[in-house]
Amino acid sequence: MSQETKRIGRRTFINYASAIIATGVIVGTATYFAAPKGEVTVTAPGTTVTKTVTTTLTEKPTVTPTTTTPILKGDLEFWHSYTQTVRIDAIKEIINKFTSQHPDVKIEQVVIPWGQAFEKWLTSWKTGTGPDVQSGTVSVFYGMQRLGAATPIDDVFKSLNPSNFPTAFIDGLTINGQIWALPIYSVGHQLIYRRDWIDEPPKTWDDLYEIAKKNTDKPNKYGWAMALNETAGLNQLHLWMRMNGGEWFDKDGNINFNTKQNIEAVKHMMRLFWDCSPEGLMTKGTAYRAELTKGYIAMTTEAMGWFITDCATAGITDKEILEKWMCAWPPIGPSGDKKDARTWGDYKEICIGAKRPYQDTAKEFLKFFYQDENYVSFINSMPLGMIPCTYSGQQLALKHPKYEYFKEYVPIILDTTNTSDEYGIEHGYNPYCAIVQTGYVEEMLQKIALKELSVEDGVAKIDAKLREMLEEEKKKQ
Amino acid sequence: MKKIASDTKSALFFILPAIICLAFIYFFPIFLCFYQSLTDESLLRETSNFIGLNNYFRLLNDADFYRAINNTIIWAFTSSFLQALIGLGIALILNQEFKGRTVSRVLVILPWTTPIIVICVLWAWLFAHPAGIINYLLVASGVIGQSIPWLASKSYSLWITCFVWTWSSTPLFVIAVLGALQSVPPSLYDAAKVDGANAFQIFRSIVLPHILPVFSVMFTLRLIASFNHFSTIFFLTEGGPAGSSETMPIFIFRRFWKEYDLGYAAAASITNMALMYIIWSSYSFLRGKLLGE
Repeated sequence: MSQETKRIGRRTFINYASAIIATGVIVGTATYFAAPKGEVTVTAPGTTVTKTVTTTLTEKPTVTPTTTTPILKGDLEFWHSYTQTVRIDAIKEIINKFTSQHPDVKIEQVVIPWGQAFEKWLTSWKTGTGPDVQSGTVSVFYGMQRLGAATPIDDVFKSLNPSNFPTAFIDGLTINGQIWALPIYSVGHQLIYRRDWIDEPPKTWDDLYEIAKKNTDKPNKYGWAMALNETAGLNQLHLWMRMNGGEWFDKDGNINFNTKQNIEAVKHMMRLFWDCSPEGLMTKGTAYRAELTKGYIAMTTEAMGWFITDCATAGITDKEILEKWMCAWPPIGPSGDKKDARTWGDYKEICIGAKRPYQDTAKEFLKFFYQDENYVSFINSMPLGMIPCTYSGQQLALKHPKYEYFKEYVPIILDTTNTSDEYGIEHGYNPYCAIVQTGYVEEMLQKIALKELSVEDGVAKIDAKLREMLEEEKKKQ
Repeated sequence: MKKIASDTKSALFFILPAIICLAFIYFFPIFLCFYQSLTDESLLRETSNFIGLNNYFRLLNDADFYRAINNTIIWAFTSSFLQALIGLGIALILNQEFKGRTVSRVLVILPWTTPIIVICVLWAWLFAHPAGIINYLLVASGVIGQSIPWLASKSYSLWITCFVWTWSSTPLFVIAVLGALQSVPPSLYDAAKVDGANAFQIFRSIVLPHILPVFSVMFTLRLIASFNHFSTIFFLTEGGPAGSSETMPIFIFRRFWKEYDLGYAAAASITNMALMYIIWSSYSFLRGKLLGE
């Protein structure tokens, strides 16, 4: 009996398996032949595993190329690090619109998390592959440009009305008089403070310290949130230096870190860290800003737009945000000057890969991307979190209800963003700016915070190390 | 005799492609890494130069390298000993007859099956400063006067990461040792009891010889895994503060992915590999002595 049951089971299994395989083959074949041309593939890697989501257009393209639209073809890869679904979807929509006009074009989004972007790009470049269109940090772009992996896009820039781009955004992307990339968005950091605890935002560093101290009652309440590890520590240091007239490089591209302005900046940061900030934030990274939503921090520097997004994630309503938080220009340091002061700006670019077979198609896609309607649909996928880098884009983006609701913040966000800069590119194009981001600076900041080094010694060590790295980099050319 | 030789040749001929493939997969990356360690290869350049042993000399003069080696040895040995000790204890308990044993055996695996990122987020939250649950409980119970920044403290960060890694990895030890314990014939326990042996004598004379082969292999494997472990430290402290929890994998990662110095990172990797090979050889030697192999 048991043998008979086994035999029947095996047969049944074979029958079911055959049916499943046959169905799979039929459905797969039918789907393949039914799929319209111009399909869009979205590849969204996680931190280690690449997840591939394939979507196909539900309707066949209705727009046929006219005489004014060049007939384009090619399979393009668009690499970026905008991991949030809303941003991926916004880009996908632009790609869908573009490919519906150009049925012989296929564009794949490859989403690489920020921490892996440079590495992924460099390794792909080493193996002879790379993106057709790439968007990311300016330092990644400089790496591409330096290795000959990017191509000038003067023609694209000219066709987009150059006067529509604020020069502050274009300067760093202009190399030897040629435009090599376009600014895709920027967002400056502001001083964010609890308006229900603090009447007036501080105007000077002394004010700032006093207010932070007054609002500190360890371990229940802290006047400041200071993160000192990779990236977050660098962002805060840059802001402090630039509000006090300091810089990483001088105008000639030499390291200029060991200066009175920078020593003052680090001293003030450390004073705030020691007396007014939770020590536990030292190794917290950019996640430190989430601490603001927990209600025990009075002030810090952060991008208000991103903070609003964090609040939404934490379940804090827009109404509560307006009631509790306000933003302002960070105070100017004793050696700083308001007209030269800069906050740290999260500044991103978009460029075209060199030595790729469909550069013309990539350039046309870039022009299409920067059409106001398309560009702003991407920017407003995270309203206030990304500030457009074109004047017309800024005007259009402001019509989003979120800007209207947070209109109190908008002038400060726009002002700080339009005058912000990034580490190492204080004076425009600098192919060596990435040496600031090796983690050494943050490690020294932590040593100073732990009182293993004096501020003066720490700053001198950072200066010496940066000089050494700069020399090394120059030798490698 | 002639036929056997011919068969052997034919066999070798047929498995040669597989051997070449395996050898390539096994040894080529190591060879490539070693070759890179003799160059000044950087991700920021298209070409590289052969510089001999310069990267190894650089390592010898790098204080951060010694700190990383020191941290790695402390971290790997401490976590492996703790895993062995706690794992053995739990396995002995789970080998006893008691109500809920099956449920306990299932539950004990839980930390090992949880993704490491989830574990790190969980423990970072528990150890948070100033408002983490552990700080709250310790302050409330009067054990400490004020909350401690565990993960931002030079004194504690390495130990906390070690603790979290031990917590997540011990179940593997438990499973292996429990398996070995179940292979001990019950008749041996009965005979020992008849002879009047106490619990310690039973453990020393019956249990230990049976579990020792599995135990020693597991210990060595965990030691090697701990030497190479990256994610727990990276997610919890990134090797900080001020490099106080930076182990060799983090050191190599930073040279490779932050400074793009492939040659130097490769030299550090080869050194780390050599160190582990020494440990493995010592283990094999000791195992041979202990087990009389």
